[in-house]
Amino acid sequence: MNRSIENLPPGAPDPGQNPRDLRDEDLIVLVQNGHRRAFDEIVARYKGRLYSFTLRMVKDPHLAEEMTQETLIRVYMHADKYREIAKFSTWVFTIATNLVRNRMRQKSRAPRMLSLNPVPEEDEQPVDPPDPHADPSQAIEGAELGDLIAEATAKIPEKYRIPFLLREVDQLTYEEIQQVTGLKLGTVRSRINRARNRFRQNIKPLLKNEDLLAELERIEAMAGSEDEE
Amino acid sequence: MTCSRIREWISLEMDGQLEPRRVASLERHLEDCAECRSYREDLHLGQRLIAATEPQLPESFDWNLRLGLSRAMREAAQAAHPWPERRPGWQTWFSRAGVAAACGLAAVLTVAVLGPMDSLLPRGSGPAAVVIDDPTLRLPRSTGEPAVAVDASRRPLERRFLPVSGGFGGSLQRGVSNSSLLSESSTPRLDDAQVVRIRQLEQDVETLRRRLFAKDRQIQFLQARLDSVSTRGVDRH
Ligand SMILES: [Zn+2]
Repeated sequence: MNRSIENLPPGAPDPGQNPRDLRDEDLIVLVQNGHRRAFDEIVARYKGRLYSFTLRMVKDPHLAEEMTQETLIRVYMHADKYREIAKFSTWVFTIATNLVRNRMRQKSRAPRMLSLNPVPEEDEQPVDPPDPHADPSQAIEGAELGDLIAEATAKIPEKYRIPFLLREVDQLTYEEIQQVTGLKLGTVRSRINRARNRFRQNIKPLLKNEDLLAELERIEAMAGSEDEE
Repeated sequence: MTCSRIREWISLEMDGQLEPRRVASLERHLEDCAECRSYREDLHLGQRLIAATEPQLPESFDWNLRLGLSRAMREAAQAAHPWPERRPGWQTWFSRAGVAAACGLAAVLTVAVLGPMDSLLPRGSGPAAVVIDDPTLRLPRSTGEPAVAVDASRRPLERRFLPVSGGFGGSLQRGVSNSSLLSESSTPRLDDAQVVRIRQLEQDVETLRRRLFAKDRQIQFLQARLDSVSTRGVDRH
């Protein structure tokens, strides 16, 4: 049953085509014209990336799931506002980033919430000082690799973490990150660099742990064999 | 070349952003500097760790998203066409925009009581477009391009939110909006019997409105389920 609502504008993608073969920017045009299956394809493409990003920002899985949902709902409800002067992915991550920022702002306004991780203020600061709270002897034994990495990521100051995750998790280009965050290109560069530096300090204790490295290789081998299927 | 500068370059190089003319200097430094070599190795290992520990969404996500969407659509539809609240006074009904079935019914009933309604309604008053100004939806600032004017009114959102196939989707859009009805000089004079009759009709409309709303929710829910089933059916190979 075709529930298409109205005639597509000239030059619009063919709704009969398999959604998987369409670009994001074509899918959203179909969504703008009421094609629900095109939206399902967008969801399939973005939900994992959005969840990885939000979870690594807010840490709480339920909240991250909610925010991923909220982002996708906004994409659907406000599809009409998208214009192809920006890449679709940039638009989606702008929505997600703004939701994350709003949430962080609310959280930081809440009383009795003290930051355990003071944020060095200036980008110009030459080298990040070592995190005084990092404890290399902390118990790694028994912890899940995923939790350790989540912890190490969460300790990156927020303003560095956003561009870092957009790059490392969501594979956005520097130009796209610039558009999403509104930062200058040079600032994007330096913040990603700083985040990597900080992340390295945070995972340093893990990198000496043979078991965890073996675990990493096991996960990679499994992912590799799945890809071949 | 300082190690700190070299580390900036390492980061750029990982993203394919290092100017080609600098690659040779970077490699030269790395040959001589064990610290920076290990720095680069750690960063690559860090990338592998992030990729290997990508979190998985729970299976229930798609289903919850559908429910969330249905709710959002319902709220948007309601924001566009608010169900009138029960208020004393028959005029509440006529001063409100939009509820199609209710208004249609009210119109029919009013014709019965008051005579033809056409003469009372101003021409061309349609439902208001939903205008949502939400800062999280602004398009990203783009490099060098002019700012985007987001024109929310260009396409009234309710066109897409309301059930389209059958049902009362079409009629909802033809709801009347008439806030100045009672201030017109043509305001009808009612006798007491007519007022009593209107109060009764008002109650009937209220009852129908509740039923209509309940059915609307049911349809939204069933539609979401239908979409879910048909999408899965088609996508499976
Ligand atoms: Zn060096």
